Amino acid sequence: MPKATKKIYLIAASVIPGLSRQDILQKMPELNFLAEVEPIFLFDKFSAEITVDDWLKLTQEIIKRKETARGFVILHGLDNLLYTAAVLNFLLPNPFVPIIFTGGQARPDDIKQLEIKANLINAIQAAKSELNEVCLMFGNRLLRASQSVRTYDETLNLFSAPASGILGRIDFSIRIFDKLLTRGKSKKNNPIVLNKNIAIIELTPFLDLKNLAERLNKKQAIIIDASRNQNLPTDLVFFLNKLAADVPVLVWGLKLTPKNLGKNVINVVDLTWEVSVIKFMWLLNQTQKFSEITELMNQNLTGEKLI
Amino acid sequence: MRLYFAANNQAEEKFQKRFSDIIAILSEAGVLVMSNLVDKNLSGFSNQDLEKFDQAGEVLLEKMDGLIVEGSYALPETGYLFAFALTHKIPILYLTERGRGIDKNLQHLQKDKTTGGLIDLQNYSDKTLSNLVLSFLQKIEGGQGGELPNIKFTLRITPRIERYLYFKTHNTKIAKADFLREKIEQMIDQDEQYQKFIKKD
Repeated sequence: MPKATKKIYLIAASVIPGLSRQDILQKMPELNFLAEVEPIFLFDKFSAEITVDDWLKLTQEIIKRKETARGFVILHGLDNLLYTAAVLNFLLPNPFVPIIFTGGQARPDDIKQLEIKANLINAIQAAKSELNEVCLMFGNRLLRASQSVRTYDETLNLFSAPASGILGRIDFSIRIFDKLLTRGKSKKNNPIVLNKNIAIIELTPFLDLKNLAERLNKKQAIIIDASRNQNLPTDLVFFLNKLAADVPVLVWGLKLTPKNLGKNVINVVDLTWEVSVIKFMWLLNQTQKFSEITELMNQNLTGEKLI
Repeated sequence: MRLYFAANNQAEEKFQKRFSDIIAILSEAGVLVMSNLVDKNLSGFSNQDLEKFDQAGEVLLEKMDGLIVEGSYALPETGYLFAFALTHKIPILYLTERGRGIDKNLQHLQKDKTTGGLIDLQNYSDKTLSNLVLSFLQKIEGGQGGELPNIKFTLRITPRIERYLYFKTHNTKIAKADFLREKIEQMIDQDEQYQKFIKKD
């Protein structure tokens, strides 16, 4: 019996402003010349509405198609895109095929949706490659999703990454830098779960520690966004050591001076915000031991470290 | 005019010679040719422009006025090049040696109402190759596909020219740029030497 051709699954994980179902199904006949593309319209809502349960469903939909997939292209709105990509990065730590996120902005001067269509074509082409990573394809760059951050400059490159996170460039074709390919060896399947019982706190001068203690009641972990700080307030450090001594706390801030903040505190300075949150949510369900969580948070498990 | 020419660099020697011939025909016709067959492409863009495109997230392929693919020997990138060019409304000439069939998917795309007008599928022999390539250039210049004046050009003018342009376009619906474009089109049509140059066999 002849072996069936493997497909590129084009999963619409959200509504994309400027690109309708009809645009994909009827107005782009060239897509099927590029590869055998099967569209799947998974969620009919804007990406700002995406939930943890949607992430788990998306992961399961990908796993379900493991045997017949040559690659996956995920159409996703810009809101929450980096969170969704981080979820797949950890729930599928050794993706069997490329998983390429793409989309675009609905620009008033781009009436023919050229930006989104070009991104989609580039993403499908990248999904045919030998990569086995979760990537982003926007403008003329293919980026490692776990090292990417959103940019707000006037450019079609809507995300950027350090040199180690740039996996390819496009001029007349997609040039993928072979030296950057990572190939995981483990075939272990991870449980498709994320710990949602986490309190996320933004550190500002208005943070009321008394209210915070109430908010943390029954939470299993705390994440503190200290992105605007170089140092933490003394009261907060005291609070973390005393009041929240039995819950793991992740303090995130790329400018933070690493300090010993307490035995239950993990100071993260080398991961993006979205990756820090999702990796922590994922690890909390892998192990209960704080020492193991700390060790794994510090390990470069999927190439996510900003180096 | 800038064109991208793609062909399989693993094809046998007879074809390699033809690929060189195609590049030569285009170059002699005054076209800037970029190709996967050459190590370093001369795009005609300055390094500053190339840097600007890179920062803006633009892809060089979208800056081309046309795409030529010699497909006698299968080229894995054909699908990608076609899809990208069609999205950007870039005209395509797909050439195969006479006697070789043309991919059914390509024939299907040529019949499609949204993409068909941009695709020219041709069988060639050594005798007809040059004519087919030159006809394709005329098709591009004639505006099938590339009808939009989308090439930016900075022109510094004197106060005298500025005053004249104001005089010619004031209280009319014609923009100064349209007025100049029309004048240049007229010059092209009336320039016998140039017409001879672009139509030569």
